[in-house]
Amino acid sequence: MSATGVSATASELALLSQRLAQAARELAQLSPVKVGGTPREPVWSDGKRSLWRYGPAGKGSRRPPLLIVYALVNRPYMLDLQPDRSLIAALVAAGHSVYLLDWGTPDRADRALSLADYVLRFLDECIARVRAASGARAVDLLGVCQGGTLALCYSALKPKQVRRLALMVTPVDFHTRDNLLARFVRDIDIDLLVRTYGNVPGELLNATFLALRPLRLSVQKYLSLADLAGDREALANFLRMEQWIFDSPDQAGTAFREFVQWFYQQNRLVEGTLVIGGRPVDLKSVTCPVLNVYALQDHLVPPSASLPLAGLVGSRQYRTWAFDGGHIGIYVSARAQRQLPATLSGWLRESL
Amino acid sequence: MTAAPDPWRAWLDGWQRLAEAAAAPNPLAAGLASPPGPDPASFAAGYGAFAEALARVGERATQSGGGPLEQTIARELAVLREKFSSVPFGAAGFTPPSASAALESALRAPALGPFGPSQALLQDLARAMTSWQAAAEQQAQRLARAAGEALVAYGDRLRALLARGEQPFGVRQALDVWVECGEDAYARLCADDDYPAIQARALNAAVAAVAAWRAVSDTQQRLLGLPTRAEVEALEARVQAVEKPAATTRPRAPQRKRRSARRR
Repeated sequence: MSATGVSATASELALLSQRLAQAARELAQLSPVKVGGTPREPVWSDGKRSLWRYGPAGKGSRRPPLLIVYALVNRPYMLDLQPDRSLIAALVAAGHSVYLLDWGTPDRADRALSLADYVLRFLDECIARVRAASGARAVDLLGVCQGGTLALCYSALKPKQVRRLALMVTPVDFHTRDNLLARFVRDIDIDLLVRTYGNVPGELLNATFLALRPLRLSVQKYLSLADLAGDREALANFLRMEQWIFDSPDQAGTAFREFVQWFYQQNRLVEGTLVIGGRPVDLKSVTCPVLNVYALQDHLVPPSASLPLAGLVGSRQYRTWAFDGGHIGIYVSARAQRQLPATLSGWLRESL
Repeated sequence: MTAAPDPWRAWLDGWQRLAEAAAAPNPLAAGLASPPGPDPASFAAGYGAFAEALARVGERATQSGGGPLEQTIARELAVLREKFSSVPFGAAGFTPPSASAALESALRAPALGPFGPSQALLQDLARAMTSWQAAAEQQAQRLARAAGEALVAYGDRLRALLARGEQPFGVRQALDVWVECGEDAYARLCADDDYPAIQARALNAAVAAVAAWRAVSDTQQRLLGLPTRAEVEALEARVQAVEKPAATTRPRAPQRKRRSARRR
């Protein structure tokens, strides 16, 4: 080895350490970061769940209101993370009247909330509120991740309330071979878990998600901070993402148990055996136009988990759109900012 | 003339420093017979082995002037793999406390007399901890095997580069390749039919230990005159019972009138 090579390696190591230390110092100065930013108005709240409207009031608008139904396992501000990374801001800019259902943070009194409460009580309440606020007879739903699964169930149970259904990275078939998350939870004793904890801690879910790619998500991600040292904007972006990733509410015990057992362990949605609130969920009842957006490199909801929807719904206007990225990138990557709002907005305009 | 330090040595020093940090005494664990968190000694031993072997790679490379480096790497990685396979990492880096022979004996004792119920609860807790330990060890063995495979793959990648006459690569690239090899090995492990079940068993055992601990804790709460978990849950159920009717009686969003109704 040449002395030059030696010197270069030693210098790189020293530089890496310096930049990591610098990034750590700068991160400490930045915290806490602000998320969101798109102006919004409260429409309804029951003290825990909240419904927000973005953009101008929809009453009198020719475009139907769009209600976003996010997952229970994370916070919905990912869809409005910052001005230049905001699906909501882009949809508002495209002229859509956007509503967002924030599920809030379940406390211990919510331990017994079931999926029927979430789908047929809270979501139904929000749809009624959106209809009242906008004057629309039916609403467009955009279900995201687990929220997509809930929106899909609602659309099957109350098809007249839903004008069109867009789904993003939504799991439908939970028993595909490449669904590692599903394989991880297949043998977990959910009854014991919920009986022991009551509500399932968000930290436990985070640990499970990290276990899908432990070195990338726990080591490599933080080493990449060295590349961001000195760039306050990039570090703030990193911090917002970090805040979102680990800002996981506890899960209402009963609803969590039902979701894991019925969907992940028993795959009832695909088997046609799902019953919510005493009513069978028949996906053939979903006859409205459907757009199914999935991500090609999604490690949480692989395409194989989303695509079987095509053969399950009764809709004649069914389309898919593949995003070339992962489960997180579809929210915040530059490519997603360019492509996703335009795709959604275009579909909403075309299928009127 | 001073011999130039080997480049391997330079970045391996970084690992060495990390190993020293990992080996530092954990002040939180001082004085505890069974530290409740990660086992610092085990962690340091594993990490030390890793750094030591890699350091030897660098030393040999320096001595040999870079000649038989490929063979050296292969040999040392094999040693490293052997060492890693015996490091007692727990599930997710957590090693539950060991059950001693005395504990085994206590578990066999009958729970009798006025304190029998408390003894039975403690025995349940101890059994749950023992089951957790066994399940965690089984998982740790599989993870250790995957770690060894990752090291071998890492060595293969290095040797391939060297065989082509290329420099190993920079520090960042070396770390990225290490992560890549580790993730690949982990993905293969997860693709095994039985590993997800082994991992689930470890989690189930951990939750069962928490449940047993809560049962013990509830007894203590009751004796101290504090609310037990069962009492708190009863209150929570009452709150829910109050909230649900409130929701159903809440005024619904106004519905649009039907055209036919307006006509009438």
